[in-house]
Amino acid sequence: MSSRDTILAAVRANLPKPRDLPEVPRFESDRPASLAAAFCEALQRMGGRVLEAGSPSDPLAPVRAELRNSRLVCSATPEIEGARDLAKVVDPNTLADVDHAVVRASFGVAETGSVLLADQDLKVNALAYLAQHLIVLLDPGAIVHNLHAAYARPELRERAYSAFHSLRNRGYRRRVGPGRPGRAIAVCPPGPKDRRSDGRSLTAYGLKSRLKGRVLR
Amino acid sequence: MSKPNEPVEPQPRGARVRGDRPIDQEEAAERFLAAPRHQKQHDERLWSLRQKRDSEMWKIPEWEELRSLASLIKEHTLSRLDAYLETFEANAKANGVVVHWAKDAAEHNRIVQDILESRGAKTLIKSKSMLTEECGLREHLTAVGVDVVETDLGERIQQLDEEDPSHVVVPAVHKLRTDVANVFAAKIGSDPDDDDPQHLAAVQRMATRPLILKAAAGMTGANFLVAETGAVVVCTNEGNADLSALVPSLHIVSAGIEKLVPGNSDLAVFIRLLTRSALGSPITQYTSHFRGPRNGGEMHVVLVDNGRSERLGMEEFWTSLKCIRCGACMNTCPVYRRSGGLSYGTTYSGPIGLIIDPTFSARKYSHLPFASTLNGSCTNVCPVKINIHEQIYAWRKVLVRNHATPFVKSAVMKAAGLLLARPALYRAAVQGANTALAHLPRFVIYNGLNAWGKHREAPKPPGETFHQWFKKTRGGEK
Amino acid sequence: MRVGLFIPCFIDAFFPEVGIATLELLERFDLDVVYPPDQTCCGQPMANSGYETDAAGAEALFVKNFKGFDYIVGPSGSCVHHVRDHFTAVEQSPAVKEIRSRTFELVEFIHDILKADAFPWARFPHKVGLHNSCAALRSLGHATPSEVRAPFFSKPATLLSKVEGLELVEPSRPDECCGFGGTFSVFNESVSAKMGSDKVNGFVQAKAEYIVSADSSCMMHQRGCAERDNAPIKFMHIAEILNGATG
Repeated sequence: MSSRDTILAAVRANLPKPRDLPEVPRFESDRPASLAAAFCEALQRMGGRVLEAGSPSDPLAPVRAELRNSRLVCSATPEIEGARDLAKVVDPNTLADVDHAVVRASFGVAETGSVLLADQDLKVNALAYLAQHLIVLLDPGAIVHNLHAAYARPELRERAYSAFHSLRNRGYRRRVGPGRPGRAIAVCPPGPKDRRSDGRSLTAYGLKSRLKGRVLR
Repeated sequence: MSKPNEPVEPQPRGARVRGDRPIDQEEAAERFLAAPRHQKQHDERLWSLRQKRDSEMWKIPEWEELRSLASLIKEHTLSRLDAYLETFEANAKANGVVVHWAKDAAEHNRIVQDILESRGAKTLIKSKSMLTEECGLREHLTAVGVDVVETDLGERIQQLDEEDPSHVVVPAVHKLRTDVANVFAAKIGSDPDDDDPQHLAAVQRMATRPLILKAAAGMTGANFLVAETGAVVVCTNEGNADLSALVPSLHIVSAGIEKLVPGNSDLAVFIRLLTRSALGSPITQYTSHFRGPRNGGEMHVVLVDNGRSERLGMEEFWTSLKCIRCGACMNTCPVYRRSGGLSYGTTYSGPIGLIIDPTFSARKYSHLPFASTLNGSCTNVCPVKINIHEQIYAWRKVLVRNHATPFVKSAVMKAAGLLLARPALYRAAVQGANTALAHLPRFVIYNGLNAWGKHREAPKPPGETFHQWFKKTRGGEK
Repeated sequence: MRVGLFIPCFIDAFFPEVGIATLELLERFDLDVVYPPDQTCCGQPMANSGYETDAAGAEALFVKNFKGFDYIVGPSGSCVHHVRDHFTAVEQSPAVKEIRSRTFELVEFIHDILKADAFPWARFPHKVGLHNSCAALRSLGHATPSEVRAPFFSKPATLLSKVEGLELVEPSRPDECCGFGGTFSVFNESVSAKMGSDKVNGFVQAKAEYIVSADSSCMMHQRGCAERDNAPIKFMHIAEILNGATG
């Protein structure tokens, strides 16, 4: 008998009395009027950095300004030009010298100020953890209310790798571990020519004035 | 920076482990208390986590409902664990994951060794996994020539210090910064006088990063396994699990069979509860879902039993398998905070340890369920509503029945039981003892044999008992 | 209403004034209070250490003494918790189940059954730190534990609020266990004493003059620590205050 069979047999012999799986509600009752505003507020409450919005004609100007003095930029999104072609990377550790990585998140979560970075966003998954600094572009129209809504999203079912990136409460002593790059989030929708090949449509351009971020750190 | 002339308190070490002999937690706790700087910091750090947890709890109106849901989801899953294990395996395999099954710790270690050897991997980086501690994986691999590097800061400190982790979430919480500085100075060659935490963390990061970049394999644990998607979920604050899994081309996951949850909608409940309970933050900085190998890589999952299937059949104790290893019970436990996690002498300490350790070895851990005041705070903070303090009580009965308690204690309890069943005898004994207490000199009462009197005054016996008073003033029977 | 007065063993032996205050307090409400003289102990000390069979004799004696009362009332949260929740060393006959369900701790009896809302004879012009034993707090539901998300209430605080001049002060750790824990206080002495010392210190920091509790067992332990530490604080059982003691 294989270990698999032994274990399954032992489990079956010892199963507790059957009981039902409860239905998990969505807990939508405290859904805020503006998810984008709630997201930015949650993020900033936790000491997060939101880049100031650019002008409607050049929304990514602040991002490019942020990158001006970078030693090495690697971009996983066509909106920003980088110095490495991620499609050609075979060994992730060749990205160890990346100073700034730029990626576009799949979506954000207002409850926790989190962004979801999936393999299609990162191109090389380890990029988000090897780069010294991470700049995340986030469509204000792609923000869900809470984690219940987040876990209903297709990325969590379909992608081979996906990760929520979040921040801890402000005031907690920051410990810098090997995978903790500095991070900034730029809240702006993708431009028309950057529409994803998966057919997701452009959301309404929705940069509101109160999203003018403060650079906190 | 530590002041150069400040006296440094040596770090108290953990319980003395001698083969299978019962661990003496009280002896180790006493040594921890004899290091007041360590004890005070430990107590305050963890109490602060408990307060942060409370603060998060008050922000979530549905908090108690979430706990109930989490408990019900886990109980359902455990009641159909065989089906969920098979579903997980099938979905993981469909995603290109290789799934292994290990009956016990030895088999787990051998499977991991075989995977590494078949790829010629001599260097392994890993993120924190209590299961790998439980199995003694690091010792096993080191003995067969594999270089293992812990990437979690707290685990790395403990690894370098050749000491077990003391807490499931913050492994080095018992150490003062001077202790950490000394460890790094001795093992990495940093400045022993610079104990600034940011500096120490940077030192560790710089020392570990090259090892991460050239490691042949990476290993992670699993906070959750999702049956519906075949996903392995890992929550960290440092991203070290992601580095361990995504940089080398070989990713191995160690997971206990009880880590299953049915689907993503269930997972959401646990992700909302886990870090709020553990650290008082809404979520960890990285919550990662691994469903398959990275491009150009390989992914293995080792499902481990090691006594879990047996515990599933214990009517009074199977719900301890709901545990999501958040450590909230440790943070709230007043005994744990004053004893230090190493005083329990085993992988799982604190309240959850008291109820699962006897299943690993009834003899070795037979004293642990008595290291509790049964106050019940642990039960109230447990996100999956394990009735921890009631299981501690139940274990005491089991251990007494199995003659696993000291002879002297059993003799005293027997005598007390007989005395308290006989009113006349009891009355005589009480009156006699009170007379004795009132007249014996201090040195007879307060000496090494009288444990009560080591740090406390004994109660002064009154002039008469209630019984005597009643008889005298109310004329006896009414 | 015929009430059986349950005087726990350690109160009989060490704190008879608590038993006296309980008796007198109940009599103030015109209840018919009976003290069965052959009672000894509820069995808790043995049972809490896992020695269930050794608790059987005491439990059987308890049942024998307390048959036929409307309520059995005792000034000890831990003992009443044992009777209501753990009293299983004896066969669970209908009579045993009846007695178990009718056993009440003093504060909950006054608050829930008598629903007393005034103590005109009581006056206690002092700063008081209220200590709820963990058994009373979490098992009998005397108050909302600080780790639970629920609206706040406290039966003992409600009763004490009716005592003229009494001011409640709260320590920074409102309900951390004091470390008595029965035999824990002896077999795990160093941790127990540290917990007791910390507990007393918390009340001293809050400027309490008295520590007041519905459990003398906890207070016996805390007082022992306080005396050893020379802490400037006094102790009183809630029964004594509600019965009119002035400190």
